[in-house]
Amino acid sequence: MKPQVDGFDKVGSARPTRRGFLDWLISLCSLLAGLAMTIPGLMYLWPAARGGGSDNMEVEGADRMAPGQSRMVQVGGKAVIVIRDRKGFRAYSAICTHLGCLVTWEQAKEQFFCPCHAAVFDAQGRVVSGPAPAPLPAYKIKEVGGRIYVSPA
Amino acid sequence: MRIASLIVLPLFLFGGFARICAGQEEAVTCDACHKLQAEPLARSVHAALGCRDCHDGQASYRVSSEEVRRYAAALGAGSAQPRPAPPTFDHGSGFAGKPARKDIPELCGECHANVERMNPYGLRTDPLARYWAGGHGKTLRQTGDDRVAVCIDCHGAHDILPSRNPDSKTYSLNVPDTCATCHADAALMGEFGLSIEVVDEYRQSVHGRLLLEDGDTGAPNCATCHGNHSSMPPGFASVVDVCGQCHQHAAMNFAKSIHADLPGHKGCVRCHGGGEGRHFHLIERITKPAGIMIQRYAHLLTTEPAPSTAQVAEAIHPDPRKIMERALPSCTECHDDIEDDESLPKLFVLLDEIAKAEHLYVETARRLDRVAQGVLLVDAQRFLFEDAKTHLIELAPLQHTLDNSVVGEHVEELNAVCAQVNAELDKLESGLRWRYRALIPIWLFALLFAGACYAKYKQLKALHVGPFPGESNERQ
Amino acid sequence: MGLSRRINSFFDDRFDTETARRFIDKQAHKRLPPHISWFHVFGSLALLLFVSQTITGILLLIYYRPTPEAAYSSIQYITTEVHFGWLYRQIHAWGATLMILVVVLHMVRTYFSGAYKKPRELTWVTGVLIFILTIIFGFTGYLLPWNQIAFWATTIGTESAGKVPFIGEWLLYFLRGGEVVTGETLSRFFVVHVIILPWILTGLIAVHLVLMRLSNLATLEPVGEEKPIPPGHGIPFFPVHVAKEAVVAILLLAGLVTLSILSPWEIGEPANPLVTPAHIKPEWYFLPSYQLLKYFEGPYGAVVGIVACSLPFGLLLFWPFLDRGKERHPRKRPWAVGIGLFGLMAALFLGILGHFSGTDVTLLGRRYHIDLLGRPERLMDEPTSHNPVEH
Repeated sequence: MKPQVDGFDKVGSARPTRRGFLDWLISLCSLLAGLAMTIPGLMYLWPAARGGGSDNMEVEGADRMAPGQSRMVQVGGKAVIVIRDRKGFRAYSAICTHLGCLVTWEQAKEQFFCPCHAAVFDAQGRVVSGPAPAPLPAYKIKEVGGRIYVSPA
Repeated sequence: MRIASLIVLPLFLFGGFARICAGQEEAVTCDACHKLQAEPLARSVHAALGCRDCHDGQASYRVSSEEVRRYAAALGAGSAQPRPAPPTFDHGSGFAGKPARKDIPELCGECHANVERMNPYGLRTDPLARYWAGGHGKTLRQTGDDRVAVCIDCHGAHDILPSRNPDSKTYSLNVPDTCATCHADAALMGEFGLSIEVVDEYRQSVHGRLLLEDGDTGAPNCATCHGNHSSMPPGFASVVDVCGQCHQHAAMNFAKSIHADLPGHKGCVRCHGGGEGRHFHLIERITKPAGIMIQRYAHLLTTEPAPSTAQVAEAIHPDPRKIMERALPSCTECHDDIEDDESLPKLFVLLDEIAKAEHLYVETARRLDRVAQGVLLVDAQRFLFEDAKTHLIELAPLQHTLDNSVVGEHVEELNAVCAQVNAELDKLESGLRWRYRALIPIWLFALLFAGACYAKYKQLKALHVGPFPGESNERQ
Repeated sequence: MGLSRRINSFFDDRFDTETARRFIDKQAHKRLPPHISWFHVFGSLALLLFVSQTITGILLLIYYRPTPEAAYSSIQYITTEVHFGWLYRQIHAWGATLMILVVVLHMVRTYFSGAYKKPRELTWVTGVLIFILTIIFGFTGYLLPWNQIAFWATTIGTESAGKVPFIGEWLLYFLRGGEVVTGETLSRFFVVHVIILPWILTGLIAVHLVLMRLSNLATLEPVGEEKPIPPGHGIPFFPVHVAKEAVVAILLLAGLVTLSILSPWEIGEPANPLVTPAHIKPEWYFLPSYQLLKYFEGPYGAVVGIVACSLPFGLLLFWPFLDRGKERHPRKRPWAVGIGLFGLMAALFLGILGHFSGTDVTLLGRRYHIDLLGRPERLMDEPTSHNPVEH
């Protein structure tokens, strides 16, 4: 809607080219200024670092784990389940591939079980039964000087 | 008369009875007369002991009240006046009296060398054996000269306090004074052919200043090196070796150096003992002149990272060859032919590198502190710099190998860490530079935008605002 | 255009949009007095800065954590890890300083042009309240980074509240949320800074703007003798005055970014309640009060000091009711102008003394130590000369 007060726009036809250029320039500058203000703002809002913890986590008290036992650790903020068998340590994502609940290790049956929808994975993380669409991703185990570290594969 | 005496004599022989009846005689314990000894004893660690434990005698004596008053006054119960000769008093046949100085070690040893007796208190039982093995004990036993220190000289006689008590004569801060009572006595030490200057040397030394000025009870006192009861702390054959009980790395590295096996060397104190004319007790981190020269050199480096020989000569000493002679006079005792000896320039290179590395370390540390307070996060760099600190602390004992390659290696590691930290800080700071550069386009844009708005303002004003009546001239 | 027409008709069918539209048009194009100068832009600039502070403040809140354990490191995180976090923090910090400066300049213009006089007394009173709130804003925000300077400046700043007669001790305890500055203080200041003050200030600014609109801008004509603006001669707020303000606003924003880059507020050391750093000074806008308080000692002196520090604010608040003269032109009211100039100079002088107190300065090749009361003392072995500056 054009302003209607005191006859704006009535006298303005004196130098239309210059006016037109000036308006164009101010529009462009306003646009640029607007972008210059919003883009950094949006970048600011974008999470700066992937939240939560180191990518290389030590399994605390790994030496006290008996074969067959399991332990939960956070790697890069995500839950990882470490199990020990007679050959050594293995680690799998504890996040069920179905809807993201955390699986538990059932020592007696040697399998992972998801309490939400009864998905079952075998000791290698492969789907045995239930709604899970994919196996549990494996994590890398590294042993340094008797300490056990888990990192993404 | 005879008959009378026959009757009276038994009365005198058993006179106690008559006196008690008359109220003239009473049963008293030692402290009635010996307050001066009894009171400190009651405050001492031996408060549970009685006089008889050391002096034998009876539990109590029958003495007339008047005598007690006389004795107490004469023995100066609490009075500061010079004591008159103590009145004679027969303590009975079982009384041991004041023990002779030469007998004191064994007297104390009756309990303190008795494992069963000391066990409840957790005290060691070897002090007596050690005492006889040390200088004081040996002299006493061999010459019978009882002017040497016996137990009571260091621990006190009746006023013995545990050495953790700040009032104790054996409390860490008091030990130098306790030793000085004899060892600063010129007449006494002269007779044994000992120097009294060691006391003052110690007080001025790095250890003495730490202990006496800073009150650092962990700093070594006389007994730390000379042993508590014997001449050496356990584990050492000679006092010149004891430095290594604290300065482990320095001792270990010195053991590897070319000087370690020289015959007749005096170990650490050869260089750290204060130099010529001293008695090895003025122990310093480094000989003073060398310290000053290294300081001057480090200062020179702050203005001139790679000084020329001439600049070094001007800042420190006109003759670079003489620097070592001045700085480490003990070196020149053996390395007398400075002109042809290559050891000293080698050492100078070593000290030079260390000084440079220390300077770089300090500069880097300062820079880190400065940057950390600014707008950058330098936690990772600080963490990295911890390594440099380790290397720097390692460097001091490593110098004792006098091996340029070993020290050089560590200096390089230290320099490498500093260089890495500096490089990372450079990188972080150069990351800020784009901000400064961005100011140019920002201002070009702002001026353009503001200029356009200003032009628009003028234009709009001309369009919309008529000249104000009566103001048209003023306002153009 | 089809869409916008449809949206318009959606509202037209449901509300009396014509009245609203007319009202907005009238307000937007309202004619301002023709003489208004470049000094009349400070009010809008202050508003612009308030908006900027609000936006950057909200952005900072996303990453800031108001606890003693996390506050410092969250600021560190904002300035080093978050994209453009440094920029928003700096703009917020510098914006606060500039806002106080601009508000002061706005008040100076209003004062000397006599614009606070009838019928605009209430506009002035709300303006003074806005000024006071802006200062409290600065004070509460200063603590939030939880670094050494913030911690100790707040300790010292709240200390002076303890000297208020009768209720001082209670007030101090209340302000700090305890005996000393702790996490409780941080929580309090945080809530005041991000919830309470913003809303109160928003309300006050709204009232201030409405009042300003109702009585239009003042001219220099005496009270009761104002001539109506001849038709066609006033300056339309939009677009003419807005274009003028845009020029200054753009330069101000560019200046703000420049200050943020060239002279960033440093993080400093984390707060340590066990170590007082040397030379703790409050921000520049507290320096006059800071210095003035020093001259009053003892139990009665402290009370006098507090009164002396709050008197100027009280005077400012009620000034339109004290100065009831009809003249507006500064030349025709020498007393008001004199008092104003004196107040400004006194504040400036005390501020400068406060800034240099307790430091060494070199003047004309000679070194002086300025003591806490601002007296210079010649350094080195020459005879000391006391210059009774404060008399």
